[in-house]
Amino acid sequence: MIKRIIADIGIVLCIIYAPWWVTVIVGTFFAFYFNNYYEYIVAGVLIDVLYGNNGVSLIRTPFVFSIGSVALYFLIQFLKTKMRVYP
Amino acid sequence: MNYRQNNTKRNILIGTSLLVAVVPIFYFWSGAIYYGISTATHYISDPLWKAGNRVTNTASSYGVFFHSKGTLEEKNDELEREIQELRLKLLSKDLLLQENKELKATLGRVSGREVTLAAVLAKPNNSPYDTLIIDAGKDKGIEEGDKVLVAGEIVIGTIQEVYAHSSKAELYSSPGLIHNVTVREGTIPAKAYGKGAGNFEITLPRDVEVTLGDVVTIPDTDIIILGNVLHIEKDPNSPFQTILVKSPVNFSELKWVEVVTSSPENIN
Repeated sequence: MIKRIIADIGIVLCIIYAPWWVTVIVGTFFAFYFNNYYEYIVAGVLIDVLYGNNGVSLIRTPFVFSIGSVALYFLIQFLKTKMRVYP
Repeated sequence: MNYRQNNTKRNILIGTSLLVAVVPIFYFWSGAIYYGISTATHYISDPLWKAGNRVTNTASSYGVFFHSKGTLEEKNDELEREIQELRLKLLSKDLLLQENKELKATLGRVSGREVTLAAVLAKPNNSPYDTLIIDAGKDKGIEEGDKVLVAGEIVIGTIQEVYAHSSKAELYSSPGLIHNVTVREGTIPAKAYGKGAGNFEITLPRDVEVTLGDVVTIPDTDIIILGNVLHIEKDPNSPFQTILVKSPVNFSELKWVEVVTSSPENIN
């Protein structure tokens, strides 16, 4: 539990201070490391609301990273079921 | 094995139901939801950004101790030379500006620009959206649509969202944005397409003479620079030429910006 809280603090600090792609890499690592790492989706929403343009994007929604993080989260969950390292 | 399959089915079910529930909400109320969450998160993150800025400034001042004396002397000489050159340039620029203002006043075209200085809290490096977060908000009289300048005459963006103590500015170079500009001292009108990270693309007929370094400006009563011509691409088979324009501002080193809070003749 403590590990997860530290990871959560780490991801928030990444969103605020680090380049966005660092957050994506660190978040993906944590999503593989922890079970049901829902914070990955929250991180996507946070990136959108902190830095995004309201309504200006290719798919006309300010939630590009939120949608992307939901898709990646389920992809990671699916990949974990196919990997031997996970029981 | 059975447990794993059940788990996968359960995850797929949760995922599908989440999508079915969330997609319509986002589709119909995305703007309102976005603004609500955005205001709340900015309220929390502002002090963190400001603390980060303070730490970076302190760290960079301590970094001076680790420079050798020789390097510092060399750098000092170089900076002094640069200051002398810039002083001379500034002298002629001030005279021209004064003359320009007097001529506009004679013709009844006074811009009445009021500027607010703001520190940059988050740059495009942090942001994947080509946006800036600055530390001036409603408390400093910032409004949506205000222009964001650097060094008084280089425009970099407009204010998109205003919070209590901070604001979000969208850079002019954001992909998908189009601006009316003029090339070659305001003689050639054109449209500049944002390409991200301070880059723009302009398409002009092949015969129009443009040279590297030409200044691209935004039509306004005051001189507002967008960038300089960095590269010209000419295809012998095409009747057009593509001009790549780069903003002179280095966004990764940007610390301060100026927000034009009132300008009665804000064009664009």
